[in-house]
Amino acid sequence: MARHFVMDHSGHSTVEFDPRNTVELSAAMERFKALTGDGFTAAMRKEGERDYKVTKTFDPSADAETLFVPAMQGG
Amino acid sequence: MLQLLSIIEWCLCALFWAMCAGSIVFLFCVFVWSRRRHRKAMRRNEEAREKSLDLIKARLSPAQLKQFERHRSFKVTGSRGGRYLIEEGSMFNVAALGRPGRFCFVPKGASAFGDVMLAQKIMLESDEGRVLKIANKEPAHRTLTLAALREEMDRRARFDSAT
Repeated sequence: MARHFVMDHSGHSTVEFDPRNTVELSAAMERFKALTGDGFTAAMRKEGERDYKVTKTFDPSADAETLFVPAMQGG
Repeated sequence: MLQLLSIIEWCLCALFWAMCAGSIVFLFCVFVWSRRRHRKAMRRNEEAREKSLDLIKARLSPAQLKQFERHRSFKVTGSRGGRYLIEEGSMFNVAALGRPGRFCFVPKGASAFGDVMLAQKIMLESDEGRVLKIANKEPAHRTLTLAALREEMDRRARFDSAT
């Protein structure tokens, strides 16, 4: 199962999806587009990897974990 | 006539006490409602904090996790090679290692400090240049006396060499 973590005021929300399920996959793709369009930065890592890499393209791999970080601002 | 006046007087008196009682009940209800709201907000904040801590702990390297558990802060190397100390908190909690000054940059809308620290780590590791452009900088000379600055730099150096 691939996972999307979206940081928000509640800590974060997690969405799991099965990339083999076309409905879930298209919903995940839409979520990716909507969030990156809203200024979120998508950082992705695959199973076994330690570091996140910032990405601008949706990766449907089953072992991918994407963390959506809201746009940064000077505090 | 006298009887009528006493009835009016009695009615006004009853009205006055009824209003007093109503006000007290109203104020009590407002107090209970605001207390419940406050408690709910506190519980939500606590849950967000716990969730954010779970998230960050699972995403730190073993060395960073050890530093975080011992010192509530951890070291990060930026994508351009700069070294930073991310401390627990969400305001001016990023200190440069080996030079004075602090940085403040936070993700919009995320308030739990575990999330803030994780976002700071990821952004520094992946795009140090851009994030430092966004960040507010606190030059050391603006806030610290020379003695305090020396102490702060010593503290960072001690942390750097100990971990």
